[in-house]
Amino acid sequence: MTTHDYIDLAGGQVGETRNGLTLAAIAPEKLADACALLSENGLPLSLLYATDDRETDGSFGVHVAFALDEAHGWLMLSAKLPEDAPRYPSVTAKVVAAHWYERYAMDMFGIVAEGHPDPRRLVHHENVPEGTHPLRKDFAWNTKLAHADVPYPMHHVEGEGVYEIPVGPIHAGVIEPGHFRFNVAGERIITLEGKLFFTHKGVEKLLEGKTPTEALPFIERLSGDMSVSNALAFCQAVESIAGCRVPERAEASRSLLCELERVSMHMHDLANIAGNGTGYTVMAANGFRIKERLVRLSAKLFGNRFWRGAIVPGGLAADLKDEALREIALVIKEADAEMRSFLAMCLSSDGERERLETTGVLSREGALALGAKGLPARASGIGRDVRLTHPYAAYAAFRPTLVEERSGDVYARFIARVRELEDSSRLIAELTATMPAGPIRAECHAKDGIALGAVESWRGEILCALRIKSGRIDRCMPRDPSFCNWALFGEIGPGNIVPDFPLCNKSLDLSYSGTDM
Amino acid sequence: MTPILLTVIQGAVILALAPFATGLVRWCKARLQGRHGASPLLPYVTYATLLRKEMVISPTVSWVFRLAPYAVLASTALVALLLPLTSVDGALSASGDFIVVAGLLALGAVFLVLGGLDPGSAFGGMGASREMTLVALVEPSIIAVFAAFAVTSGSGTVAKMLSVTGMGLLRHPGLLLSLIAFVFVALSENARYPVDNPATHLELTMVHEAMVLEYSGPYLAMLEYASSLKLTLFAILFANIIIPMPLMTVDSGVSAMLMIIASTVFKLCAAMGLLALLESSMAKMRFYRMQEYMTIAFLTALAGLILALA
Amino acid sequence: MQLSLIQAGLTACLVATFIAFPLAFLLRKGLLRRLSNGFLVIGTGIGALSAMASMTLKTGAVPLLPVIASFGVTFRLTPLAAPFFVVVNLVACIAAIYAMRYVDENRDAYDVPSLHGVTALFIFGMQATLLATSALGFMVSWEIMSLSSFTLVMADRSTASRKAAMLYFVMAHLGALSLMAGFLLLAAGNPLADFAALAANARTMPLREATLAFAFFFVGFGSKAGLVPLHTWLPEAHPQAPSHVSALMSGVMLKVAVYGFILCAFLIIPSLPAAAALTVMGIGLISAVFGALHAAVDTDIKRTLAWSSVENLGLIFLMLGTSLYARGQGLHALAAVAFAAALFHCIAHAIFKSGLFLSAGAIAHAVHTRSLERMGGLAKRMPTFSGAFLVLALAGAALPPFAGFIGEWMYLSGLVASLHGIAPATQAVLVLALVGTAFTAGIAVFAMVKLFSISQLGASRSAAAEAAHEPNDAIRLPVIVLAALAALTGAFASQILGVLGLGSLIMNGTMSSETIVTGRGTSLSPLVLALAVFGTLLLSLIAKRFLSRPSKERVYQTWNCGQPINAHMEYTATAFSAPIRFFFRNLVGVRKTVVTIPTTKGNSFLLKREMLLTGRSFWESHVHEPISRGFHGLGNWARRVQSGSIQLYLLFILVALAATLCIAI
Repeated sequence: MTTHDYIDLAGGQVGETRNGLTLAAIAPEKLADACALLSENGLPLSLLYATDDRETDGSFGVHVAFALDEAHGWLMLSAKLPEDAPRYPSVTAKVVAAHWYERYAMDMFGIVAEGHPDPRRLVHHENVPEGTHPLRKDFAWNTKLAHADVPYPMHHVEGEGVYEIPVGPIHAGVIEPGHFRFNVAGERIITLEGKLFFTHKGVEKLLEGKTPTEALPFIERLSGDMSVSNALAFCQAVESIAGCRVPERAEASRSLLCELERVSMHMHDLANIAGNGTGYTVMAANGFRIKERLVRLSAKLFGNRFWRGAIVPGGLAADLKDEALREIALVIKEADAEMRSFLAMCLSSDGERERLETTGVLSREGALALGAKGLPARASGIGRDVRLTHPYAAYAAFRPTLVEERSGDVYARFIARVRELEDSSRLIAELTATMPAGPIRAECHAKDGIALGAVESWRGEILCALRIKSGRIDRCMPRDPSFCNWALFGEIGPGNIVPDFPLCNKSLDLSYSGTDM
Repeated sequence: MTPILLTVIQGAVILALAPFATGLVRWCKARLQGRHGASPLLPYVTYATLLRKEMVISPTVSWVFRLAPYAVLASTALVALLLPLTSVDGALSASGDFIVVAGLLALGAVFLVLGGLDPGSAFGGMGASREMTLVALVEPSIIAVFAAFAVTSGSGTVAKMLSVTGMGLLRHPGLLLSLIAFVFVALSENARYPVDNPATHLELTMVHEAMVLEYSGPYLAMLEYASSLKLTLFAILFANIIIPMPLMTVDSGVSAMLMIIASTVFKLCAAMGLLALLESSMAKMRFYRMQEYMTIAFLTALAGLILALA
Repeated sequence: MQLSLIQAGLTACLVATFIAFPLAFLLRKGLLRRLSNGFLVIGTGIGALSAMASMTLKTGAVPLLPVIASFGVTFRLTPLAAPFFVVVNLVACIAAIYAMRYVDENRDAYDVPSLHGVTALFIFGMQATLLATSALGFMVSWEIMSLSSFTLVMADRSTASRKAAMLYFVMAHLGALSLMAGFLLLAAGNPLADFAALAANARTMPLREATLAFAFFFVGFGSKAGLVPLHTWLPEAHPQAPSHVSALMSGVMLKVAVYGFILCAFLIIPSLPAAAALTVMGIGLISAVFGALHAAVDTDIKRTLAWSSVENLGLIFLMLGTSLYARGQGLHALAAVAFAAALFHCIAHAIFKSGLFLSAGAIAHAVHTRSLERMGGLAKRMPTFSGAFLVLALAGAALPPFAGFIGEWMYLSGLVASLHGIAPATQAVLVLALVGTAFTAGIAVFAMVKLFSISQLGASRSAAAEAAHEPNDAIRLPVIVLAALAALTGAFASQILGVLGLGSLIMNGTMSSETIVTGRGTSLSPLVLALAVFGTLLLSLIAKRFLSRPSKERVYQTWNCGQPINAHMEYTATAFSAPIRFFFRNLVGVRKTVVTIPTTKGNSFLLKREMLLTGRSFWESHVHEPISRGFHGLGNWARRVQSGSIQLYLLFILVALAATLCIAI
């Protein structure tokens, strides 16, 4: 089916197409059905976000983006809701993947998804007064909120002997704040629910009114361990609106940085899962040591430990000299070889495999329905990788291998990381060896328009929806893959025993900060 | 030396060495993982500091919470006096019947569990339920292990069981199986790998640490000290079974005493080194596989007993 | 002189107890209504003291004064019955004191006069059973005991109680029939024969018949003692009765069954084949394991205790079976130790189990429920009471240095000491008993810890538990006395065994009680153990006082991870026992089902969930139901001959007559 067929199917009106993004208008009451139809036809619901357009046309906008993998493009359905009654039939009632997005829009814009099966608050906690909608344009970013006590009911399982384990937001380890609530009658988990958004930074609000250059530092700091990917997604959106062409060397360098980020964090995760999660301490100590080499390499090359500051709209801020490229190649080669030997030791341990296998199974159906993104989805047999479906940077020339596992357990996610680590090391070797020569930055003047930037970070697909008006950001929603994957806990947890939850958690390794923009 | 003096010396040596055991195993593990590791003497400082700290007590708790540290420490200390650790002729070592020893260890565990449940936190309950399960399931293995030694040595007191150690084990090959089962029992009793990870920060996976989560200050020092003590006495008992070195008797002089104390330190170091090696080379077990662990321990102990009878 | 005093005391005890029965119905008003209770307390008190005197003075059998001989039955206190008589009267005395206040506090639920009256009759039945000298006297007393306790089970007149009582009635009478058969077989048709005559008959009887009689006795006493597979009534009936009656039923009525079993299996029947002893051991062990596992997973406070009774009675029968078996194998030392252990454990169990049931009554009254899931935080609200409860629970967990530990310790030591140098088959049996007992002991600790900690510790799980306060002295003191007894019985075990004079009792005086406790050359006496435990506890108190600064304390809420927590977030009994439930799921047969209800149509990923625990024990699904299905099937099959035609029935009669004639000729 062509893009237009899909729009016809959904009952929308075809709008403009630009850089692979096709816009379509749709009536609010038809939105839910349209989404259901598109989902049934295999288009993954990739993003749902709202906009406050009351100044321009007196309406709120609800936008749903679907990935058109075969056409390497995106389709965005937009519905306009009247400003005095911003309500529409809930998409979630038909497509579960919209669950968190709609609750997010309800909190941030006061847009009501009618018939939402779980209309509790998402971002706002007990202390936020009713009727607070921070992303509405008439809400000043520095408003001091009154202290309220609005109930935030967690799910309860009925039955005598059931009790709840509250964990977090303050944990014993050095991790970000998140509250998890288990309903348990002993060790086996009956339900598991998370409550996040304890450290809301208000980045979306702060971005509004800034120029892309001013906005970039905020984007880079959304989630520290995904600085490169987030920056790249944002820059892609800016460049797409501006219509500028990024030079070849910059594109290759961007791919190189993405892969470096991926290698560092996969090493961290592998050490964390196999080492800390199961208590195989040798793996943890050595894995973290190896990862530290990469982080220090970043510190040496960029002055920070997270490969930050290199990517700017139009290309790169500074060139990676041949010397640096050689060093990168050498460090990665050594680190990869060392990591492989520890992974081999780890995988040959029966006790270790026993812990990982059959733990935290995510079924393919569950992953599809909940809109899982990235590595957890690939480990459950959903072979999507933005680098292949929507090639960006230099990925058209330097093709990654699609890693896919079927069993969907912690072991599958572990092995998927091991294989991606190998593949990324290969890509890094190729990129450093055959880095094209040439300029590293093109002129990129901000224009007005709408664009989507898509990057496959090591966590999964980042989608950065950007709308620029008069050279300044009007709305920017950098959607972290974690935002889609947090809900997976509800599927992964039940049936496992409580002491295996940290392992499940580590095998997903989601970002709190990226979700809690 | 009089039996009373022997018991006093044993008590003093074991009580003094206990924090060192914990520190040593941590240090060895750090070394095996390629880390520097804190000094093995650190626990002495830790416990001393804890003893001087303020306690935070939950308003939920009752008198049981306050009794538990004393009961845990006292029962463990009593076991340290009953067992033949540095001397076989102590005033109480003749009373160290293995069933009494097993009973006292269970008594200590029970109070630890009660202390863990009293503050009404989910973590304490979690640790308590798991610990209680381990205590309940390890009981048959303990009895079977010691029964094998009792049958071969012809005595129910642990002190007399040491008559068949070292080379004596070779004459009763079945006892090697009992010894393996003893290791299983010891690891479970002391909340070590693969049963529990004493170094974890993940509350949801804890056993021992979850129970002491609500304790602070002197009470925490007492509980931590009791667990060091338990580790020490299991380690030295294990070493005494394997290494055929004479222990103090009423006939020993001062030089023998010094020799034996030095050898006790050596035994402790060796045992802790082995423990660190073991803990560095395996992953923790899934908790719901614990019945398999216990079954293996039990069947090994039973096989040892049957061979001892044959 | 002493003898006649004891005689008078015993007679007074029996008479006073019996008089208490009608008095309760006659005098209902004012202070006079206490007269029945008074008679009961004083009567049982005198009874306990007299029997104790008889034991310490080693008077041998004491006949009662012939006041009641006119009934045609004579009563006598034998050396075997004496310890049981002490225990029955002691516990009855304490329970009667407890009952006065307890019944008053629950007067809405019960008919007060009849409850007191029937309780007296029940106690009288037990006393008379222990004092009976003939099969007839024994059976009549036994029936008084069974019927009165059957009435007591449904004292609160609820449907659940009635159902439990009916089950009890059926089981009790199957047991009674079996006993009757046993006695008739031994008595050779003379129901008035006394036990001496029965023993004489048994000696001349072929072994097969004696074994058959033994089998009848085992079924009869076993069903009363709650051995599997005839245990089903026990965890239903005991919890339904008022708590002091539960204490009497679990604490001492079961011991009367043990007494009967010892009387018949050890004294009357001279020798038994090894298979019989092995059966007793096997059934005992299975009961112990099964009872312990159920006690560990049940969430009803009184049912947990009832299951624990199944476990302890199983252990006692295992010990008795071992004694029988060892006697047959010529292991006289083990036979003596096992017997002594059984007898001691009877005493210990009577004390701690009745104490625990009385505690359970006080707790259930305070929180208006028997479910552990709605308790919690009671130790803070009733500290003295909970201290006594803890001692009782530790004794019930068979932990040193309390009463419950001694019997198991003697038994395990005895087994280990006998293992060397005997036939491999015997070794196998003893090893099985050894590890089985150890396993049971471990699970029993779990059960008792669950019982104490979930009910007493943590935050209160219900408003009623929140409002609980220290019980009235009349309720608290009996519990404290029993707790003290549980501790003292443990500490002075050697002395008690000395008084029991077990060596001379059964085993021809070859084994003195000292060597039983201190056997195999260990010098550890229970008293030293108790002193050592409390001594080190004291030392640790002193050490802490010296080593740490004068304690600075700050009160601050339990760690909550930064989110407010409440009592829904602490471990429940269901959760606490989950690992045991999971590991032994095939034996305890509890199934967890999570019912999921989608919150919106067509969306299978957003759900409401509800958890259900359903219990179907191994015995129900594998033994009782097949049997009942079998009978049902047989009935259906038999119905086919019921055609309704007279001719056919006449034909049946004719065939039957012919068949009878043929057999007769």
